[in-house]
Amino acid sequence: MTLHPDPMNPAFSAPENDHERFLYSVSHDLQEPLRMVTSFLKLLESKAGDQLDDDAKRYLQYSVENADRMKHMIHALVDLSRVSRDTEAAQQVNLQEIAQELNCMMGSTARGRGVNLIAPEPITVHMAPGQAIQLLRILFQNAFDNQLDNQALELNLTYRAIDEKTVEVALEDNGAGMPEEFTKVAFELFRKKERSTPNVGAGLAIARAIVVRYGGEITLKNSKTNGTVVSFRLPTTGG
Amino acid sequence: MNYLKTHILVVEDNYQDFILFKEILSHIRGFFIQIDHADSLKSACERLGHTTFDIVFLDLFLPDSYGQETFTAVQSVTTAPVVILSGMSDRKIALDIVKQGAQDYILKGEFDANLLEKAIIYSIERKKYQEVLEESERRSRTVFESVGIAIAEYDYTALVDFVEERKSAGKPLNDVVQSIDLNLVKALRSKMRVINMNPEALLLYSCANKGEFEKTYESYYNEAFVGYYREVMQTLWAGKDEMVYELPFVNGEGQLVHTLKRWRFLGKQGGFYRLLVSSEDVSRIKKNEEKVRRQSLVMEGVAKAAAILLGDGDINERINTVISIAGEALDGICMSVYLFDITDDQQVVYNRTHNWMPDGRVLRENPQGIFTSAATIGLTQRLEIGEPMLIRRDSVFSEVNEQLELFKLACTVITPFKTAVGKGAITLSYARDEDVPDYVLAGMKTLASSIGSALATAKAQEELRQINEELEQRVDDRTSKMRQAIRELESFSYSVSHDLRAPLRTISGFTGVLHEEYREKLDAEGRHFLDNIRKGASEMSQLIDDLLNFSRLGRRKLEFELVQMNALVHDVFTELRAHAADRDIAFHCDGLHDCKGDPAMLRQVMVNLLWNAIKFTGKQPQARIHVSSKPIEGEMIEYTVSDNGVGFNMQYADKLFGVFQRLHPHEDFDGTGVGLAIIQRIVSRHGGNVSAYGEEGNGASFFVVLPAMNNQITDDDS
Repeated sequence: MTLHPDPMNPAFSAPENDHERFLYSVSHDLQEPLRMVTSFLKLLESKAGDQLDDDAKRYLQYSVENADRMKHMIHALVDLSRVSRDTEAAQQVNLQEIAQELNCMMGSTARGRGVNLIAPEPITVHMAPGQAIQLLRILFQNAFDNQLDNQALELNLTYRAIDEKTVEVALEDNGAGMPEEFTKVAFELFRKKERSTPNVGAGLAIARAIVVRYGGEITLKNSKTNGTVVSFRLPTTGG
Repeated sequence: MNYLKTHILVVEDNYQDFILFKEILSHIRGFFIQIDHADSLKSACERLGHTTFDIVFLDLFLPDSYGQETFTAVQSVTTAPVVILSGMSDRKIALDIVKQGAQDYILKGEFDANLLEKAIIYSIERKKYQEVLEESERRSRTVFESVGIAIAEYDYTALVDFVEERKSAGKPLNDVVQSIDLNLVKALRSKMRVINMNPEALLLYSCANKGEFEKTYESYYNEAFVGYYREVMQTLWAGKDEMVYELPFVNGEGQLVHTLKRWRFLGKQGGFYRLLVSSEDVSRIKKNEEKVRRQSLVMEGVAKAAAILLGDGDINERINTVISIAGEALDGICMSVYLFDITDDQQVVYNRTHNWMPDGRVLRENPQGIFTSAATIGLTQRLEIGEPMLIRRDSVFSEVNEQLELFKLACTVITPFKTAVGKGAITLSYARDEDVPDYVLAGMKTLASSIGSALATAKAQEELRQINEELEQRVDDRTSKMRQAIRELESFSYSVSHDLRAPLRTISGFTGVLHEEYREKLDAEGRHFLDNIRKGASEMSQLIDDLLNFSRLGRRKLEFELVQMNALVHDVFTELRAHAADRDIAFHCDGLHDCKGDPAMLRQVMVNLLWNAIKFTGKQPQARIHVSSKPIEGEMIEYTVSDNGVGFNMQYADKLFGVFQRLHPHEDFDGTGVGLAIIQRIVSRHGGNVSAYGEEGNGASFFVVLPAMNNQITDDDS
């Protein structure tokens, strides 16, 4: 498999396509009425609360929660629409190094039990450094979210060469794994493993958009040890 | 109707979805609904374990169970109909599960009170018919057990194999018959599985159950069984389906009894060869030849009838056969079957009559039988269900006396029956005034019960078939609609809009409830807040709907043909004019050139252009709208729509056609700003282009270039 990973290629910076125009419109034009809804909901809650009974207050609370949820969804759309319009130049980046830094920064959020990162080798890919960080941060967060309660999180970052210009990177965790059905739709926007989690389910969609931007592909499946393994292919050189 | 009072279990882990669901349920009128809620499989199973629910709404994705296994677990603890609550992403699983026995599925967020009501009624009804069917089958068993003659049911596949094998080996019948000895009889019998035995049959062999019988039957076998099985073999060899044989037999109490054995080969049913063997103690027959002959005829007729009723085939044909066989066996002159309307018992919904009068008198005078419908219904209401009643001309039922008189009949036996599909009755009339013996009454009793079950089974089967057909149709319809929808909408923008709509729907739903039920409790300020919330929410809905429409445009295939633009524009304007009837509009449209394009899409272009013109001239005392056309180079036609409205600043001309670009404040002009984007999309798919010229406060002109009739354009954008 040969990739054509040139972010400066006109195809990547082409005039907004339908999806982008759509994303852009949604994210901008929905924000204004949403702000109106949110602020008036809060006003109603604070100023007219004493005129309402518990049921009504609960309904109001649900509306506020959903408005909040919409806000997060719209922010996710903005993030997603930014992926292909990112102007940072691609260069050689070492995913091992980024992973180690992320581990230091994010490890403390992993329910205080620490993360054991195993990334034995340098992994060089050709992409915008900002997006490399974004990609790994999303995948780490995904692993943290699926961490089992009773054990420390173990992350394995490995790679294998597919051809001269492509590597396949794999991030394996020892977490709770995914329901089989979910692995098929995990990269779709707003798909979540559990409805009750506070995030909106956009992380993996953004991760895919980043990988796809560099001509690669990304898959997710349950590992033999019941955790999850995310694999993605990226170019190793520009041009 | 019994689903008026309905106890519902909603299994849904998202509490807000549940509250909204409950809110929608409360808008269904005419139901007394009691709702219970479970948020996990575990709590659902607990509730289903100790409470009976009429219907279960089930989300397949719960914290402790996922997909298919959720349904399987719930199905194992309840008989209530289950309706799947499905999201857009799991609808395929939902569909599969409907095929595996869920009654229906509904898409979350896509239903209203009306749809929900239908789903509830429909699911409960369908489940009910399934249960009636099971009940009928149980009843058939009951008849089998209470018939008063020993009956055992066997699988005689081994006998069929035996005969077939000998036949295909070319052995003559005589040799085969001669080869049968007691050992072979025992060997053959041991291969015949006992399916069922009624209590009389168990009594005959002094056994408590068929297991015990299987262990002990051989002890009854003696040389007499050799002749018996030789007869069996001859019957099977000849392909006959019936055999009668008098077998001397030492019963469980050691007495020698003459049993009249009747074998009825029912053929292959449900995967094996089914055989009914009845054994009747005919020792007494010797004492009273005539009475016994009649009695055995009656029993034979009734047993035959019961076997036919248990079989397959068209119910009308089976009933016709049964009443002709049974009526003749019972020596009557006219036999009828009636079934009444289940709701009020006031109408005969099913009727069959067989008449033996030589001149066909009864059927000529009253095709429904001896009695009119009203008389039969009246009688049935006054009699005890299931008990045969002998009525003579001098009875207290005057209406019956008249009928008997009319047809010169002596008496009639009527047996009311009751089934899951309504009450009914069978009647059998006699010409001679004679004692109707007990065994005739007993036969009538059995017959009424068998006919009732057969009718109920047939009706339930029929309704279930119809309902299943309808369901299949619905599933098919939905599948094909869905396929189309998926093709059309499986784009990114669709799912995004859809996902965004979910929280928005919750906001609209709850603020709608607040508006309806709490508006009165709020002061002016609170109402103002509420109005603004609702306004914002409806604006977002409109935006998302417009986006959905816009995202669909790109996918429809274009059909190019001649478009008579002049007629189209006039037509569109007339239509739009009606929405601005109070306005003064001078409309001018010269004989426009025809062009080549998709008529429906181009109509949309003209609707949007003309509606903009009407909209943006709204502040003029007299609006002027002018449409013209001219051919331009490259086999194209340029159409111009000009107005004297508010115009626009040319500085923004390039932004005009973007989605949601709006150059004028909301308050002045409504709409979401997708109209011009749609125009551009359609026109560019026609290989044309759009441009605009305007001056602020001084009108605007829009130029649309489309292919001329002789242009070779094709649609390659879909």
